[in-house]
Amino acid sequence: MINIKKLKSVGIVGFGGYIPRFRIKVEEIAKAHGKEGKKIAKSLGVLEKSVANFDEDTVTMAVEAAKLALARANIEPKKIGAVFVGSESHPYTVKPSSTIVGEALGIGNEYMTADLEFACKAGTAGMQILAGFLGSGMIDYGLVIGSDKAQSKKGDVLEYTASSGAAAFVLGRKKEEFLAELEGFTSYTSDTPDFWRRKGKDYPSHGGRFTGEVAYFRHVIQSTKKFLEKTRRKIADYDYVIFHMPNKKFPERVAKRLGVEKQQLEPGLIVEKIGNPYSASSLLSLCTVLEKAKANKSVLLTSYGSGAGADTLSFKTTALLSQKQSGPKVEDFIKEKEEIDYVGYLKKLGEL
Amino acid sequence: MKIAVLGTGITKFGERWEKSLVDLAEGAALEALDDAKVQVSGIEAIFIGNMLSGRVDNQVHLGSLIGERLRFNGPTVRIEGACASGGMATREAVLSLLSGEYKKVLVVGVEKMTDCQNSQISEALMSAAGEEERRAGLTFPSLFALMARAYMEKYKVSEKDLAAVAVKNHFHASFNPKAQFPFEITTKQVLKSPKITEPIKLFDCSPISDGAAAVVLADKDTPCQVAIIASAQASDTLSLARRRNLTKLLSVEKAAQKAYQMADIGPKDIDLAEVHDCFTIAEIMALEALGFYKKGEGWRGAVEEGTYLGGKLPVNTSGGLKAFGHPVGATGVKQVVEIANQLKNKAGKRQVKGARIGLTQNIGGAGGTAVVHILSND
Amino acid sequence: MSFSVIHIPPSGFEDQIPYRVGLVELKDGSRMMGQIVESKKLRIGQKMKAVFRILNLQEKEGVIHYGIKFKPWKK
Repeated sequence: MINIKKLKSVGIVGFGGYIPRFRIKVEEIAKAHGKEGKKIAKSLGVLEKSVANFDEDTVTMAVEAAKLALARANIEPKKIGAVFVGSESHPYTVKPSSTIVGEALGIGNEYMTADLEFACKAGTAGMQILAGFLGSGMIDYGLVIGSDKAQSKKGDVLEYTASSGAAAFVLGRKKEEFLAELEGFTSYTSDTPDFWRRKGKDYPSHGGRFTGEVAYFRHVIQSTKKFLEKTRRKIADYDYVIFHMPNKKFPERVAKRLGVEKQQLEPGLIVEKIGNPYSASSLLSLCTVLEKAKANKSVLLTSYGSGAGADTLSFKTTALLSQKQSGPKVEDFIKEKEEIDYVGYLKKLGEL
Repeated sequence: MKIAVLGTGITKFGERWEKSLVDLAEGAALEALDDAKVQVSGIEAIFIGNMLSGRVDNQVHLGSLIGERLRFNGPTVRIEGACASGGMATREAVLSLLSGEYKKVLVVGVEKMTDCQNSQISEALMSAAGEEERRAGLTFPSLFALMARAYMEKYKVSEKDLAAVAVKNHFHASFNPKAQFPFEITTKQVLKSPKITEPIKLFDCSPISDGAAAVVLADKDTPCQVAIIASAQASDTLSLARRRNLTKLLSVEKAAQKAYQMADIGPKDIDLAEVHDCFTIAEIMALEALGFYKKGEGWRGAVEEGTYLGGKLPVNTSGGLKAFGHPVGATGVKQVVEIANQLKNKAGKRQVKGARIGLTQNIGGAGGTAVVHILSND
Repeated sequence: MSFSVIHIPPSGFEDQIPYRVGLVELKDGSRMMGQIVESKKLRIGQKMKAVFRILNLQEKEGVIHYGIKFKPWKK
């Protein structure tokens, strides 16, 4: 059970995203495998996905996003008391990404950390954990990053959408510094093996259609519904609604079922242009929404992680937000792109 | 000072796969001793210049190794300063004679580079640069490429102007049977050669070579035809990032100033020079640092033919590093060998008529170390 | 300050050729040597941004080395 109302003053004081430069079109991937690209692109609702350069990984992207978040927060890195990097592509199986990130950002030696993994929702899980630390008063600021350089088996349907990106958030507990207050959150968790990667394997496996109703839809809907029920709110109360985006169809469908209007969903729906950067998906969406939103707007976000679980978080923007929307925006990263072909894609993956 | 150059010896430079490092050292040493009409027993110390034997051959303790081959029981020292090792070994020998400790010593510069793969040698050469440069993926030629690009941009000089240096040095080497490449090349060939690290192409670079050179030096009381009248060494930063000016070789300027002062002469008094053309741009920058040309004008040397045999100041009549070869530790000593032979009128087809004063300039790394010697036959 | 495009690499960099390296002057006046990534054309005087990247890509068993590279910076 989760006591949503017990959450004390926690809010976002800095945020930033990073999307690598390269893109490969869904049609280009399909062509490489002798499939019909136009059909696949249409069924997924995705045009192209972001591809990290060969010298980028979860850690390098996390650092880039966090640099921006810290700059916007305008706090001394050493004030950070806890760091969480959520990913399903940590570069080491044993050795945390978060310490490399902490070192690169100059966070010093006095911070708590351990790496997080929960498929695509490790980032929001990190936010929840930080909220606990902040609520207790043991830390003044925390840094959470969702970052992934998603892997996929060649020719598998996931290859069309598994992409790369990172989003970072600095959370604090002083109301006067909030750019957006974290009003509350909850989770819906179960043991549902819809998508997994065994130890030592390079690529994940998934349960095909099993990843739909029983996994994504059930958890996203249940978590969102439970949150609204416990807080006695309605979907219509929200200006922006964000869902994890494995493709464009899933969030659109779940939006319909929950009664979310197009104008609530559109601003955060970036999957069409960048694909699914796993742990960074819903968080990059949150970044882009925060970069556009005015004061006193409400944002509802439900992430989803295979295995399975969904986290629902609710935010309310403040007047201070408009002062912190400068710097490279997610939409700038989306626009700053260079198309590559399948050979170029394999080179970037280091497989050629 | 007046250090007698009693004899010189040099092996053919090139891909000497049939000879080991100690074979080459022995070859040059025996030739020098013979030329000097001195026995091994007459030598009091051996100074060895070598950079890479520890890395590529897993062999250090060269002093003992070469001493063993020459059946020498006296003191032996190996000196290392990247590609300036030969010049530095010569200098240390000079200092030892000036100290009065010895009267007659042997200097051997030797290097064996062709027994490895290109990538191994490339990596080994980068040990002359800094850690930051290695981690950034730089190669030794790329350090000079950075200097070349800055120079070309600042002084509006083209790749064609740089190529003239290679063409000249090959022309000189065509008269030198011991050169690695004793044949001419054309400007077109240089410009069309494969890119190594833009703007440097294959024919802008000195080759990977094996070889050895040796000289027998004696103190001022020994009668001789040719003597070293100045010896100077100076340093600059190891990393290019720590240098204020990418288009100057500060170490060469300082060493040259000191050497001219010692010999009580100026650049105008030099009749010929052997300079360190590890890359075409290096010769150009050296000519300026040595005071032969004004800043930004060094390229005129080869282009206007002033530095050709028969010109105002012949530079690299041996063929330089580019055409004669560059077994790194041997080069500094080979330069002394060439100047000494020129001053003794023994340079055959490459002879500079009436040469009286010659200069050698040897650098290590991207100019972190520079050694200048001046020789005279007065 | 200067740059070059490397075609013949040291070992460990073979799969990156041709790649660019440059000497970059930082805001505080000091200088740093680094790889320049994601650039099409370069010229002396061009503004650069420092980025955090992997340095020793070929290392599969040892520690991953992270460091600074540069990429052209547009406003």
